[in-house]
Amino acid sequence: MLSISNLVVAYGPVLAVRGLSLEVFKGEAVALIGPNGAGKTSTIMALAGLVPARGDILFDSAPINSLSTEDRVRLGIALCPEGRRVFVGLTVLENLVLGAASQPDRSRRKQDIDYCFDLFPRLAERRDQVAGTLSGGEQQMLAIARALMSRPRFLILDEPSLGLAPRIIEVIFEHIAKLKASGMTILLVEQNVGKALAIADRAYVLASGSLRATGKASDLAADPETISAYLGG
Amino acid sequence: MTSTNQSRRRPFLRRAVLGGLMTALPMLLVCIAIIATGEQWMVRLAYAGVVAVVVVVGLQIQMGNSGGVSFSHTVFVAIGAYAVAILSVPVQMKKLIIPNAPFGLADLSLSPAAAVLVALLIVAVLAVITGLVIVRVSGIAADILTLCLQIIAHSVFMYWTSLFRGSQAFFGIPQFMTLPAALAVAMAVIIGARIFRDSPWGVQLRASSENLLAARCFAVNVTRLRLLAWILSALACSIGGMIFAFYIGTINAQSFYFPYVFLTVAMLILGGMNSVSGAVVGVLIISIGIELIRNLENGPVLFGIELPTLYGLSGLALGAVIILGMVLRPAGIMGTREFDDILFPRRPETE
Repeated sequence: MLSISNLVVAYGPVLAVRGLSLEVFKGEAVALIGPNGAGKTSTIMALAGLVPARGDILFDSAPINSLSTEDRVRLGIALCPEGRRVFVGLTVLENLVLGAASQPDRSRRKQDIDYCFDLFPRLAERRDQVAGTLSGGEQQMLAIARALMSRPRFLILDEPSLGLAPRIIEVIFEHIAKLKASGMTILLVEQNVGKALAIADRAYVLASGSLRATGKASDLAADPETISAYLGG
Repeated sequence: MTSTNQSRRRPFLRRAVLGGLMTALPMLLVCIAIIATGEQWMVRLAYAGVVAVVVVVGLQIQMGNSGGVSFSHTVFVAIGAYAVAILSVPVQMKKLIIPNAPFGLADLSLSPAAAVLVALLIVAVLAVITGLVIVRVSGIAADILTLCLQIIAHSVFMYWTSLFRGSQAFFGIPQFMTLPAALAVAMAVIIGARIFRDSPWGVQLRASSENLLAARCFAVNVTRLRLLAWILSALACSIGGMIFAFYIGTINAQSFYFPYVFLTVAMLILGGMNSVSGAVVGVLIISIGIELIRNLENGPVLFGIELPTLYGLSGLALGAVIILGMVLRPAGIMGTREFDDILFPRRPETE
């Protein structure tokens, strides 16, 4: 579904991603793991068209390098950004409606909102509450639900566990597992290696902007050497 | 059938129009009371207030939706005023004031209605040209750009003397506007601003000013929406300039320069830049406040005590009010709320 080859992301003279190649197949959950500064977020920002990048990005076998973020969203790529970034002044429902900005067909919107509320019953209870008053876990649920409102076929999650209590992280990952079971293709960026490998089919280990290891998630999880060498844990 | 379809497709429209009428209500009541007194000098002051409402609401369309401060909105006020002036002054009068006008403008005189239409077109074109540059820049750089635009425009007004008469007044503009007519214009502008603010475009634009990255992740075309807000803001501000010119009959570039820029920005920030009602409240408070304080400047006798004359007191008080307002209510008096949000709390659309 997604194929990246020789991706280079540079901020001025600083190379954040140095020739990364990776592939995600339909229906798969792929984890992109690595320490701070490995280039994980730069990679997915380039995927979403939010930072300029060199290299080839193919989605459904068609190059998308020259497309704007808006056009990529319309193709079915959704990025749920790091740090949740919900619109704190708007209600849960308004946040969801904004997530559907790329969907001109309003008749399907109610259906999509119901789908999100089915997936996250907590949000349904708080539909008219201002998003700034939600807990961190609820904001993360809202951020994921809002990304789903654009009807993506390919969902990119950036650090969904960031800043959440372990118990809440459990809940969020249960939801991600549910999404995966429903057939969603997921690229998961995580620092929480254990959690990411437990849910993913395959994983790429990134350090200093380059690929250090790749393989089946279960194999990587069973290989403490790779984990400790690159992830310090 | 059509109307139900219409309201289902645009559930915000009814709210925006009715809410807009409520937003306009305080201005309307004050002006009706003033008209009832029959005092001509008060009517003239009220007229200036209504012009300020149009300009500050125009400014709100830009600042309240796209975020950031704009210092160039009075450029469009001036362009609106000069455009209708140059187009509508009778030919005989032009021989006297701008005999050497370029583009054959010295021999052209349009009806006020035609002049307004042409002026709006000119403003729209200039807004697109300036907007294409400004909407691509965010944050403080954008604020500075608007400041530069203000200085450039003022230089043009001051030194293109064959068209704008430089530092001399431009007079002879037909004076047909009345306070009730200006009120009708101001109400239309207020309702227009409310419709934009509450529309999906307005909501998307406000969300993008809260969090640009997140908005872009959901395919919100921020550049295009910012450009739209910029153009609408310019048009509204220019309408303020037009109704000003058609009432007062004489305009001068100096009167649209920095003192007016800061006065109108202060009105909006005090009232609350995130709401149209805030714009109206800010104009009312500062306009009425300045008039009251101006009386104090002349050293009136209050409660048997003769007060000293204190010229400049109104400027001092204006500054003090804004400082107090910013300390006590940093988001402005209205914050993000409209009058109707307070009286009839919003139930989010359920669709």
